[in-house]
Amino acid sequence: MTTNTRHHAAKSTQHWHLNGNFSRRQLLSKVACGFGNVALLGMLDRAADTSASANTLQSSNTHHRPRAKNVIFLFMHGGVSHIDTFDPKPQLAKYDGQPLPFSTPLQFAEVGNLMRSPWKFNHYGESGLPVSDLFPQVGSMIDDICLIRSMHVEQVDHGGAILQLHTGSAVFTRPSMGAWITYGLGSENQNLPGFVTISPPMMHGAQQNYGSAFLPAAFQGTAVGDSKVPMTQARIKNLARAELSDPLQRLQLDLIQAENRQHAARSADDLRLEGRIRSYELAFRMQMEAPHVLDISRESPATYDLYGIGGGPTDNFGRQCLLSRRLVENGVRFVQCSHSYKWDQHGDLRNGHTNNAKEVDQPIAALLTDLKQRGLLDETLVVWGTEFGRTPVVQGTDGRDHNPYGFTMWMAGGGVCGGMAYGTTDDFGYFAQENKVSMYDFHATLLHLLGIDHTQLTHSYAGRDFRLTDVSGTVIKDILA
Amino acid sequence: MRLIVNFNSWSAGAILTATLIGVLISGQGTAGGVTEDNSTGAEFFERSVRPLFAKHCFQCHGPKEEKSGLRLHTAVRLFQGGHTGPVVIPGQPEESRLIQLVRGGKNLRMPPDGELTPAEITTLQRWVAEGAVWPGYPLQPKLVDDDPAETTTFTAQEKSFWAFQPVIDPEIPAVVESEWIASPLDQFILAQLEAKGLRPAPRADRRTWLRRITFDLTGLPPTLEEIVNFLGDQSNNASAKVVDRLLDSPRYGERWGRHWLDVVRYAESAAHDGNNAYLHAWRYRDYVIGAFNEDKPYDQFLTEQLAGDLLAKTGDLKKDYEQKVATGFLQVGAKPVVMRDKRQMLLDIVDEQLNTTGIAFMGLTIGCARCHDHKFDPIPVKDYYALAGIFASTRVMADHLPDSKWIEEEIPGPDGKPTKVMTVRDFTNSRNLRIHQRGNYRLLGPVAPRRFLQIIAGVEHPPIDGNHSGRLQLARWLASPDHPLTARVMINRIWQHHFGKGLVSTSDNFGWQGQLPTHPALLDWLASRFVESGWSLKAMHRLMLNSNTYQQAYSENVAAADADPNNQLLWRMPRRRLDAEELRDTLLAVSGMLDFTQGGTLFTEGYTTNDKARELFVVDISGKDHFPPFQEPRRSVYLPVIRNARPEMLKLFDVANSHEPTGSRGETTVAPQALFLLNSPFVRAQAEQFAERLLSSHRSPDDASDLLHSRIQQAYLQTLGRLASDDEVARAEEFLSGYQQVASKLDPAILLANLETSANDDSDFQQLVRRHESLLAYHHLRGIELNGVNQRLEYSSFNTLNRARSAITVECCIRPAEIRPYMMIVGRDGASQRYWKLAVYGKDVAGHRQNVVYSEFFHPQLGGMRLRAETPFVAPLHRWTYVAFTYGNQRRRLYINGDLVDEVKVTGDVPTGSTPLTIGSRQDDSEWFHGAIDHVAIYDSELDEGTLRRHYQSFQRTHSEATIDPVKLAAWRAFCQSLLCLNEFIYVD
Repeated sequence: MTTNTRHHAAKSTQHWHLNGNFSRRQLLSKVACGFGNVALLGMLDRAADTSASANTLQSSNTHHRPRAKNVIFLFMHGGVSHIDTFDPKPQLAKYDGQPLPFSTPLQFAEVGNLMRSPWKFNHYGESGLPVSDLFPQVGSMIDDICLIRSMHVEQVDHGGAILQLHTGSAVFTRPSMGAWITYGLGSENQNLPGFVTISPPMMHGAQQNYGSAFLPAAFQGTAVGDSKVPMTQARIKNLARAELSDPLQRLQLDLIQAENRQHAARSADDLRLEGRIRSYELAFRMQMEAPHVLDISRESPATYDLYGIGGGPTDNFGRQCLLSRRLVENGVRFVQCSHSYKWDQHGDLRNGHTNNAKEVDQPIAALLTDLKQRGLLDETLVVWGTEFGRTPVVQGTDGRDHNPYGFTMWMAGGGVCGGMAYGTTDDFGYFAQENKVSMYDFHATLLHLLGIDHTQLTHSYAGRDFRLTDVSGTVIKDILA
Repeated sequence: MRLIVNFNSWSAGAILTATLIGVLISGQGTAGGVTEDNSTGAEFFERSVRPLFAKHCFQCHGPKEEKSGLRLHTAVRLFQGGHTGPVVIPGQPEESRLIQLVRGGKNLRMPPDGELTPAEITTLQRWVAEGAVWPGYPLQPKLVDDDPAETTTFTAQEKSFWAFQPVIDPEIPAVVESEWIASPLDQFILAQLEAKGLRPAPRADRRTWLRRITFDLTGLPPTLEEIVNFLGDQSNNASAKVVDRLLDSPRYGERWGRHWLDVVRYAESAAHDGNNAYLHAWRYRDYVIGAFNEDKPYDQFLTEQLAGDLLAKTGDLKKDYEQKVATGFLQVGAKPVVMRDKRQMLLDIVDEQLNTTGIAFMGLTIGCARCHDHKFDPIPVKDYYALAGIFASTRVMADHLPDSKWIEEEIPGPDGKPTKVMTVRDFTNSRNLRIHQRGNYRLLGPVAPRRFLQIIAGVEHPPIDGNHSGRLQLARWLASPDHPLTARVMINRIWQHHFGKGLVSTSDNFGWQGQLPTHPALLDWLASRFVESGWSLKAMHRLMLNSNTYQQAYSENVAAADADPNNQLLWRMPRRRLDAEELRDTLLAVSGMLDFTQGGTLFTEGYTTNDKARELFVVDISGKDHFPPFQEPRRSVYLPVIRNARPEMLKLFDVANSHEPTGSRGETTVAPQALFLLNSPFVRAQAEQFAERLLSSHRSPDDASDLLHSRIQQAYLQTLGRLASDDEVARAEEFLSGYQQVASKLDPAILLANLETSANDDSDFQQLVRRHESLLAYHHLRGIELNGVNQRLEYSSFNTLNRARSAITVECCIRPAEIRPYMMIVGRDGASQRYWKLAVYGKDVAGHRQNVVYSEFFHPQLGGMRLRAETPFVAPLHRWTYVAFTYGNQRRRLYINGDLVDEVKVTGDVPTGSTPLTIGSRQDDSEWFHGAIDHVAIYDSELDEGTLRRHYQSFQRTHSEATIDPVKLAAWRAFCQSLLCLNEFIYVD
């Protein structure tokens, strides 16, 4: 079915060019008789592409040679402590229990004294980069990872910081980076959405974090479950076919489309009608293809073991990571996995971070390993990130407050240097210091790796050209492989 | 430095007062004069303030103790405040709780044992007024600038911007094709078309026009009757009559009220982390709907919403209620009630109100000037704080508890009964705000006296004086006929909904970043008529809808499309997609399930959790589609608007986000919409109801082929408002037979399971039941067969049934599958606590063992004596029997198939206790019912014979019919659902 679709689509495209002087009405009647429903779809796909979104890119037509085709974004919701994971601070141990020697931005919780990291850091790989005991398995992959230790944002609260991470703006409603990227590059698979978000957070901006804002809605993220639903029950809404059998649904769809086409032929200049006709076909094909892609039960026991699926703390995030691999394998452009809102350890840091890391460490390492084994890591950019880091000073007796002024994110695969640590924070990890990276810089670099010049990926709305990076953003050239 | 002193609450010696008066009169003295300490800044703090804290406060609020969560020994803790929020607002002693407390208010004075001396109070006040300097505190608040003399100047370009010019009543332009003109409005449109060499589109056919205008004014499709009446009405004013009829319909307010609710970001929860429930917000929603239905003059509507609480009482209950409830406008926005920094929270609320007010009434994004002068529009930051001062002088929150609560007041409702509404009040002392540099309240600039936008009101216009917030003055200024934006903005909103786009296409932004009007003269002409009509919205609807412009078809015109691809000149009527509410309401209307009840709330305390007896929080419904109020078949405008948790369907079809004012919504086309229409249980249920309605229709002809034909035509009429063409009928027939051919090969059990409702369901009957005013509970079990072994339904939480009552009616229908000694139908009958029940028991009647219906009551006060009516009325096997009993008026009655068959005298109330209501067995697991029980309805009164007979007749109409073949039903459902997926259904031409 799928192969046929593509075949027909290609054929009809050719036809379209050869007969470019057909009126739309002629075209529609011709197509309806000549190629059947499926071919019509492919043709209209391209017809709409040329007319409606001329400023988007085809993947063959990027601004420069792309280093990655797809992105998997692993989002740790709540604020992972960088100084307890990827950014060791020996000074912190030395001055443990003493006051912070410089003034800080206002925190609402009382500023306590410095607190050393409860975790030991070990050196991994050829690069010898240190990673704490929280992430031993990710540590073992460190030679594929580029740490960015000098991230900084302005937003102190989760809501704002998360929106900034996802959309660039904490204040205004802007498209998610996944939407921008899909808008720029399109999807590799016409039967699946180009942007899928697995278990997205239902708070702190909720849908806004994967929304398309003023970009066409087709580029918004399609959710699989949400943060409240365990992966074993996560579904794409309304994907389950309601009609009793394929032939019955096909019958129904044929009736709908026949009527719709006749209606569209009466006013052939309304592209919305064609858009909706196509949306039914896409829905139909999604119903056919997506369940197979979403069904991870076809994976081998060895793969399950690798990701830690089969009960235990790694099960849920393991399923997310494995599904994200299946999705990029099937041509989904941008996949996000969200680890639910667990990392916000204002107190109980030792237990909290230990348990959280236990849930994600193995699945993340497994994803990198798996992608590598399949030769997909070269063309897939894996991004690990969080909305902000945590303070070096203690909150209560065993907690750390939000710290947006300096924290760590990392990238792996698709075009970045592995085994590298870029940028620094100060001696205590409070402020980003050398080679500071703003969220705009981060987004600019992400787009660059996909072959997109972030200043050129624009959308005109309300009288102005908008960008993911607004008026800022510098590509971090030093981390490009 | 100016010191603001409130003499009313000031208890100081005469000398001090005299000094202060001196300061105020001179207007430039410093507060330093009132104390002996003339030092400033850090020195002043160390010498006078810190010792004062140490002496009077540290004992309870210092290194050892932190009563009320407050410590004053470190800067961080002091500025953080205590449980009740911040205690010091730098630069604003009047607003600083510390100052209020040491002065001693009505309730509380600090320190608790003995007062501070006036001099000490003055020291503290001065310290706060000078910015509360605390040496070494890194982000100490500072006064950045204090130059109140600075005046604003606007450039010539700013001053001449079109939107700030007065509305003029323009000449009506001349046109060539004058026979096309039905209204002066048409002349403006035609003149610009002719200038481009274009012609208007031909007239839409009457059916299309009727569908268009009915959706436009009511959000619903025309009914069959309305279509027939209009098509049959050949009079000249047939169209105008339709316009009048629709404007008079209560559906009009439900539709147009919703447009306004978009603009005022209406919702029933606070968003942010707590998402606290606004359980009384719906009264504002009903007020808005009512205002549209009653055609409340817009100037009054505006004034009531901004300042209704400040209007004089009229003595008219309804008017006084409306004035108060209208101010919900200021309350229903998102509120960060759990924000730790309470000062910031209040300023964010002010910002939210100001932003909404600016966009809703003036189409100006005033909120952009919070941190700096507006980047595009001539709105200096000073104007922002001048207006913000008005809202900051308005009390929104009832207290400053960690989780603050907004103001809810109990006032007499329109009926005189006590009614809770969200409202606001003026503070006793109004205040001017200082400019907050970069929007930061810790960086204070000069005072911005409360007043209006200078670009419109003039740089010279006087500040608001006296002790009121200035909200009423603001409202009057906005509602003035001379205001250049108010009428234009509103008339543009109306235009936008009728003609697809506003004359200013950015209906929420009339500023520099907005679009210029496509027809500036028409905009002004309409604004003039609007004011002239007494700000009547209905007059404006009539003006626009009775035009020939509105009569145009959506038709193709290649030349026009080339010249004006976006149809800015209106060379045809636009086509629009049904919005989210229209689509949902229409699906329900087509299925016959739509409940037209007006007003009221579906969102009650039961859906919230009460946290620490302080605050009501919304139940966490994220990720759940089964929030019961969302399942109600009411019009969508009455579904609760819970921020961040909207019903899936509304979200999918671009409902307004309710966080910000939304003058125009998106119109997206995405695959998830298609998946929703094809696969969602909601759409399928509507399709199935629709199919059942068609199949059980009695008006159909006898001939089978005619019947099929007529049903297809009915389906087309009800969905698309037109008859099917011969082609379409043929295609439908082909589809139905093709589908049945495939489906008949499927396992019938699967087919049945796939149907949402039972084949012998009857929505007419259901509606009769549901609409009865004394209905307590109704359960439609969809024909489920109980197995007689271990299946029953139990409702332990049915508290309404526990109350003592003097009358009750229980009705249901049963289809026994077996004859047994005892089978309970419904009742409250446990092992020890037995109250009443309806049941059957197997007995020899006329020589055969049969199921006999009986009802039974257990009165503990009568020594457990059973009152049993045993009448040989048989419920046959495998067939539906309608049974009912009533209790009340000293009698108990039993009805079988609508007939009164037994009556017994009784005394006392209906026996009641805690045994749960069960259906299908006794609560102690005995007397299991084998067979189907359906349509169980319990009423709070004794239904009379006539009513029960009507219920039976309605029930019988379908239940006595031959069961609808499931294959046929499935096919019709698929056909009906297909119609609901059609572009022709989803779009309006």
